[in-house]
Amino acid sequence: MSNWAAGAQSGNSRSANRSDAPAALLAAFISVVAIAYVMQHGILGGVGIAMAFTGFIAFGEMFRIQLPNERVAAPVASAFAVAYALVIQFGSSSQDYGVAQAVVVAAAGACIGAVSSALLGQFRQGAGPTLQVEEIVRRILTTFAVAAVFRPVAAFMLHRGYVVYGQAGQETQHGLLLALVMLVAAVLGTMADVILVGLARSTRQNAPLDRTLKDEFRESLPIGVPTTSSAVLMALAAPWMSWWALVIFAMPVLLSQFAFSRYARVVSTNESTIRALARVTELGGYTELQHADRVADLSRQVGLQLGLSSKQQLALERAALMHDIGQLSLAEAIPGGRPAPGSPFIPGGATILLELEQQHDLAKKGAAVIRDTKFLDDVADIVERQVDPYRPRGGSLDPTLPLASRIIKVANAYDDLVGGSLEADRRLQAVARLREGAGHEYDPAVVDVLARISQPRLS
Amino acid sequence: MRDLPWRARSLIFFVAATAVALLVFAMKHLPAATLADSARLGSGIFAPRETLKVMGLLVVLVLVTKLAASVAVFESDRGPFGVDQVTPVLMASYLLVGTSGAIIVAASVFLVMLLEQDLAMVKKVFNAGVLIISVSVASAFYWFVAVRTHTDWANSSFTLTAFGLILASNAIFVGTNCYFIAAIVSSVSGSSLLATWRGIVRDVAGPLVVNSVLGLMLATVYYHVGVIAMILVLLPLYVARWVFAQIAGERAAQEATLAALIKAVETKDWYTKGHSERVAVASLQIGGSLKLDPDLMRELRFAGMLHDVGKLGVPTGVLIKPGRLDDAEFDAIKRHPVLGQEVVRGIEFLDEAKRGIYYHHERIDGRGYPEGLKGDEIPLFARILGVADAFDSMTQVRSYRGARSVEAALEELDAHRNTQFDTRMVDALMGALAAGWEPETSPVVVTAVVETGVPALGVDDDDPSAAAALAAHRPLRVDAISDSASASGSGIA
Repeated sequence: MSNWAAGAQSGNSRSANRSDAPAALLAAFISVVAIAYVMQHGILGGVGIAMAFTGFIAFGEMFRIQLPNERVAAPVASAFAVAYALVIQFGSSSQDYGVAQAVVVAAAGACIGAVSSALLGQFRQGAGPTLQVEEIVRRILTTFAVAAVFRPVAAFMLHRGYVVYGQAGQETQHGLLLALVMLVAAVLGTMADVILVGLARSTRQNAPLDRTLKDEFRESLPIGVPTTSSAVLMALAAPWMSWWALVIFAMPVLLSQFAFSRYARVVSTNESTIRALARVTELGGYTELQHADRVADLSRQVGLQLGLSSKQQLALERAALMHDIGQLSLAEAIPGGRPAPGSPFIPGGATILLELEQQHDLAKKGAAVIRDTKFLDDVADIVERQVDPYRPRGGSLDPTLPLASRIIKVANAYDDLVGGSLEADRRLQAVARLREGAGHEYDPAVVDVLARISQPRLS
Repeated sequence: MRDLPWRARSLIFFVAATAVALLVFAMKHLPAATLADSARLGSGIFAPRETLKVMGLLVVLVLVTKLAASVAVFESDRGPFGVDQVTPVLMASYLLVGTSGAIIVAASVFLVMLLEQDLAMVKKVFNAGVLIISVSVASAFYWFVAVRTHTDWANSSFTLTAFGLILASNAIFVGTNCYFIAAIVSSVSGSSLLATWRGIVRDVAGPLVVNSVLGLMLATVYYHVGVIAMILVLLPLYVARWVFAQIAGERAAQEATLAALIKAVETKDWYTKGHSERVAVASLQIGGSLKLDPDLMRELRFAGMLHDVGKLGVPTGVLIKPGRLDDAEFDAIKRHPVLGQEVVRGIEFLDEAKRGIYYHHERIDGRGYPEGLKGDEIPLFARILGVADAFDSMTQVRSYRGARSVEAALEELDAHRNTQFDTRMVDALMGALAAGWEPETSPVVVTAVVETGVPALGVDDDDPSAAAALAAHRPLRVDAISDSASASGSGIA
């Protein structure tokens, strides 16, 4: 399990369920209607074919990929679900079923896959992971969208003779037109899925909707392209190649399944490397235990709510984890103390105890270390400017000051003041202090979000 | 050209002449050949007029794919995994337009090669010629069998025979291609033809199935839907390549992050500057001699980089203390593998490296720390790191002595075989040196640095002499003070 997912669970799991409820209800309603319809009218186009697709979807569902920023994808499952919504001819057997049957197959496949992977997980790890109902809901609604767009249009076109499927020895008339309709339906369905996920994420993370959707579209493209291509190709080739179409045209999506799971693993290893190495300052006695982790968690939550893109979010988290790296240049750790008489004691390593000039110096040295990597320049820029005031007294806003730096500045100051403490009093005091500085030292928008996040939750 | 041996020259002439002959034949017989194929098969092949159109498009396609990326190479853990775009296109072309058409498509690859700067003209001619010959052989085989077995890939009854035939013809394509490449390589280098051929086939046979499937996909989509639909096949490939590029980027970022942080940590101790990087290099040399697989080599590199990260948790005062250390100070130093493991514990998928870091100060005779493991109980990486670590330490300047020469260091390693070091690892290091590896060392100083007035900065416990003293320090093994400790003039002996 990656860090992102872990962080998300610690955050707002209760509101997550609430925000997904309408979609889940809709999916449940559609499934029930579809099942009732299919029960009444029977399965068309061959039970074997329907069952095979169900099996492939279930199989794909068992290999979900956990991508950065709480994204989950099951390319193989979605490709087969969409393909079943698009098939109108399978070898010599005509697939003249309606939207309902496509939905039933997708729902059955998704449920079987989810349940078996949950059972397998329980069997392997002893503890049962959650069913991830959200993924089942996604599969059902996407399939419904694709089938609802495509199947009536295709039925009409076939009926009116706009498209004639070539039997043995004949060529298909207007195959390109059919392919185009399939593509449009598949793209629309995938877009519906993206919007659905974006909506859920925006509510869950309190992130602005437009930014979330834009981000979601950009991030879904690389995985959406192979999935959609595979689905359309399978449906297109099914009349001639029947089962072979499923074997051969699944290749693009299998390739992307392989590539993305590898990518997810590398990113997650990378993240754990940075997380682990950020601890060298703790090990060296420079900073308090868990400080970097906590600042990163806070920054992540604030960043999400302020609508940072996935890429910016990744840079922000990395910068937050490594923000104290500059302290390695110190001969002795910063001693603990009280920032003002009467305020609570702050343990050693807190940069807010230092003179501003010294803070700038440490930020610069930290940035130099990170810039040395040559791959993390964006992270270095953020770390370098983590001390800069939001609006110096008598000065004006600096448009080049990254939002991520402003977030880390606030999160770091907050954690320096509160530490791992869970006392409500101490949190309130810290927020009050940040509010005093809001507008000149700290970005007021960031302070607002942080104040909201840090509110002691009523349980 | 002139400096090539006559065998190579005649081979090139043979290939070029055959290719030209095939091309002329194809040009003359283009409509007839494909027509004949399709007539015999009864269905599936384009009419002559369309053939020309199709071929024009295929030429464009070859140009586009070839220009966009000569060869799409996916980096995987096990080295490059190539899916080149020319092979699938050539396959698709003989499925679609028969032998003559495929020859012309293959010839168009030569035009693209002309645009490439980095290859000598002879090689371009040879490569294009080989491509034409290979595709003719493969296509002739395919159609010979297909016509006799009435196998039609484009028919509604696509069968296992059709798929098998496509795979077989692709295998023939790859085999023929490799034969000519091996022939030219062996005629130039004088190596055995069969061995060269086997080596080349091993390298390129991996993506055979993938290429065949891709070719079939391209042909099917083109035949039934149209040329535009080929985008549906090619686009995912580009996406996959993009993802693999991202993966490579992330990997590089991880390594760079590690390197930069280690550098920052090392600034604390002037004498160990660059030590981690050099130990990583030496470990990889040992690993290379042992022929570890690429996954393990990557981890070994990490282990080398990180092996001393725990020293950051040892008070600086102890690390740089001149002269004799007391019990408590020794214990503090001995904690660094434990602390190091503490740091890397959270890093995913580094199990071997974690064990290596934790045990890198164990000794074969069981007098090491932190656990006092013996012989084969010590994990592989720890045994490698132990030797690499000691080697680097000895060939670098220390506060209490100058750098030793490589020969002197090897003698020292040799002397401690089976007591401190695993004899196989010592041999592997020597093997790497014999094979030409030149380690980065400090200039050798004959007299100890201590005497020249450089401030003494304490004892490096990676140094075998010092390590022996540390080992001897274990309470139950007081008898075991190594003679090398006194011999090397160490400050703590």
